[in-house]
Amino acid sequence: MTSTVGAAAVSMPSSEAEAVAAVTEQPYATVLAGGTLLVPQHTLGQVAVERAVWLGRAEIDGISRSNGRMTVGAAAPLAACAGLDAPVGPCSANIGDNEVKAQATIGGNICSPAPYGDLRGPLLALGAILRWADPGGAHTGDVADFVAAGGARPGVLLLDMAFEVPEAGSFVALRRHHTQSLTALAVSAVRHTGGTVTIAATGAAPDACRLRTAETVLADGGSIADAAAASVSDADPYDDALASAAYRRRVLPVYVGRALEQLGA
Amino acid sequence: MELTVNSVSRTVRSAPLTSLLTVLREELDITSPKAGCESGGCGACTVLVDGQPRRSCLTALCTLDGSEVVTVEGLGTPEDLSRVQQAFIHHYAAQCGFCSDGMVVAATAYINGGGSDDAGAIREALAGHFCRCTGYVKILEAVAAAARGDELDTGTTASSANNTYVKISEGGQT
Repeated sequence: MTSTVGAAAVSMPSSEAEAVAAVTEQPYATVLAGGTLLVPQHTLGQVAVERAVWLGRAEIDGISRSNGRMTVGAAAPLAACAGLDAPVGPCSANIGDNEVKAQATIGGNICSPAPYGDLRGPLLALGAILRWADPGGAHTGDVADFVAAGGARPGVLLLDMAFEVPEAGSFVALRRHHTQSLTALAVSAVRHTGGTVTIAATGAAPDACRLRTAETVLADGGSIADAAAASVSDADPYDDALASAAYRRRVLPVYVGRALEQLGA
Repeated sequence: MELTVNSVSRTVRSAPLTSLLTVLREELDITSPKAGCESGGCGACTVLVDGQPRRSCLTALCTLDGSEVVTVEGLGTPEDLSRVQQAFIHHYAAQCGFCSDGMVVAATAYINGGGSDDAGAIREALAGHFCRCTGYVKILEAVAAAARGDELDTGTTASSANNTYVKISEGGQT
C-alpha cells in the first residue's frame, strides 16, 4: 500500500553497536545510508518511514584486506569499491554515474532487489559471507541466506561482507544506450585458490543466481563454449522493462562465455 | 538544522528525510536545481555539497547538518558570471536550459578538481546529466574551453563547425 508520512525521527549513531541498537529497537527503524533509493521513494510517498537511522557516522564504511581476506563495510560508497579487483570493482564501477557512485553504498545495493542489487552476483560468485543484525540477534550467511531471511526491511541492518581474495575474477555486463543506466544482465566469474571456478549472474533470473551447471561442465573438463551453452539451464529468464525473457535467454551464454574468457578459464 | 547555502547561513525547518532539492526549491526559494526525474537519473538537480557534486533529489536533509551547499545562484552573478557560465554562453551550450544548472555545477566541480579539456574525461564527469536539446556537442565544447582557460566573450558565439566567431548583435548564423 502506498502511504505518505510526515516527519520521521532520524537517529545518527556513531558506532556499529549504536547502529544495531538503534535499528533493532521498536518501532523498528528504516536504514538510511546513501539515500539514493530511499529518499526518492520517500519524496514520492512510496514508502512509509516511522523512524530512520542514518549510517553516515556509524563507522561501518571501512574496506580492509587481511590474510587474503577482504572485508567491505556496508556503508562503503560504490566509488570506494570501484577500484577493487574483479568482480566487485568493475561491478561497482558499472553502477550509476560518478555522482550516484559517490553517494550510493555497497550495502544499499545488496539490499535492493532487481533491477538493482547488481553486487549480489559478484558476491555469490565469490562465496562472500554477509554479516547482519536483526531483532533476533547477529547473523551470517551468503547473499542467498540474507535474501531468504527476508532481506532488507525495518529492523534489519546489513553490517559488512567478507570474502577470500580469489586468484582471478571477471565481470561482464550487458551495455545499454546512455539513457538507461540499469543493467539488464551481468555475469561474474571467479577462479578460487586451487582452481575451482564459480559463476553467477544478475538479470538471468528474478534474483541473482549461481550458474552451477556451467560450473560443473567446466570442472568436468568442458570447454568455455560448453559451459556457456549449459548456463541457460540454470537461468529463469523473465520479462521486464529492461529486456525480454527471450533476449535474456539468448544473451546469457554469450556473456558467460565472455566472462570465462576474461577469467582465462 | 543549519546549512550554509551560497555563503549565507540558513536555518531550515523541513522534516529530516526531506530531499535537499525540496528544501532548496520549496523552503528557500532557490530554483536553479530543477526537479526533473526526482530519482537521481537526470542530473538536473545537481548542487555542490562541501565542494562535491551531489544529486539534491537523492540527498536527505538530515545528512547535511553544517554542510556548505552551492547552487548556480552562488557561482556567479549576472554582472560577474563564473568562468563556466561564461563558457556556456560563449559556446551557446543551452537551448531550453532545464539541464543547464546541473551541467554548470557538475562542470564547475570537474574544473575545480583539476579537470582538463580531455573530451573523454569531460564526458565521464558529466555522465548522468541528460540534455534533450543540444546533442551535447556545445556543452562539451564549453566545458573544454573553460578547462583550457580560453578567452571567453559572452557577446559573441563560438562556432562548433569552424571555430569562427559571430557577433550576436549582428544576428549572424554560422
